[in-house]
Amino acid sequence: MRPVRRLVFTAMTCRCELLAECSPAQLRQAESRVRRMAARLTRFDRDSELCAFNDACGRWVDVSPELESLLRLGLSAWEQSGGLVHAGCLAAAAAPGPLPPLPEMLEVRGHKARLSAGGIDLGGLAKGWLADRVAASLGRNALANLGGDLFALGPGPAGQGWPVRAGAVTLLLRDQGAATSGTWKRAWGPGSQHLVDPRTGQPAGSDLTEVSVVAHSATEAEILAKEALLRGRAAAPAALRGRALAWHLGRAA
Amino acid sequence: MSRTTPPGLRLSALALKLIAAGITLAGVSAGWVFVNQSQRNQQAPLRPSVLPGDRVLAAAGAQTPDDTFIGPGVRQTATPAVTSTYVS
Repeated sequence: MRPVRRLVFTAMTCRCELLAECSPAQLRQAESRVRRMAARLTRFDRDSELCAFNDACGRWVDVSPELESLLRLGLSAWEQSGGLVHAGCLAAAAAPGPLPPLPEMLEVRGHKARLSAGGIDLGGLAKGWLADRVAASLGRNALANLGGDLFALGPGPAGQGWPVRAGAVTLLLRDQGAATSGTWKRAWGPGSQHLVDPRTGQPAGSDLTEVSVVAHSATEAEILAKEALLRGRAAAPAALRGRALAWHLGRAA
Repeated sequence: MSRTTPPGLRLSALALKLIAAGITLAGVSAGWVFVNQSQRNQQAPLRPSVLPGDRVLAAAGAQTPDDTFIGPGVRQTATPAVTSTYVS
């Protein structure tokens, strides 16, 4: 077994870690890929592809294969989560109240897409989606962690899986993804955490402060963690059962 | 007039001491067996899951009081984590 190399950098306003049995050059290529995708998918840079798409609200526009995949993923996540994982949550800032169903705001046909209201924020979906792909690009034994959304591929450094801290425990992950969704880390302002509940258009009032989930991919884990956080402690286990491989529900002390 | 204990009574006292000692020994013995059987019962379910270097804190599929669920496809470990899912 070759030594596992690690590369740490900041992208998408978060700490990213790549660990793999590969050459330093392969790690740097993967870092470049993360940075390129981050530059295209951020909503904080007016020149990004995502911002151009949001600015073209009301018109059908050509989108890249990557943005097309992520927009389709956004629609799928909305469906899977019963409407709770809502990529159109930027609409809440413009018009208070419950968000319209995402399929009423966003349409994707072929390589074209149209936004009819609000704006798209790919956020954690993009991190999970990219973590799955970057890990796979680093060979057969690799882990990509993009700000807490991660995919662990292969047997890990000692052959028994990748030891990953998830919530209150350390788990050995092998060909599995994990993600944490929380209300305590990021905020739009004082007393206003970043996670919007699409049922109200307001910051989530969940009795959970963070949810960590292990699933078959980082993308899946991200969707499940966010849905569980919004459902709250009483309903989260039923929502996760049969869909998540492991989870931790964290509450405020 | 000298006071002497009747021979029959001396025999009975000795017998009582022997019986008491026997009960004590039997009790200690029974207790020891019980404790060890209890320990064996507690350890038995964990043995198949434990591998060298690993510490299993929750049985597969168990929901612990602190809201942590670990399904059968995932193993918990005491090995230091290489990374974390915490939002950073």
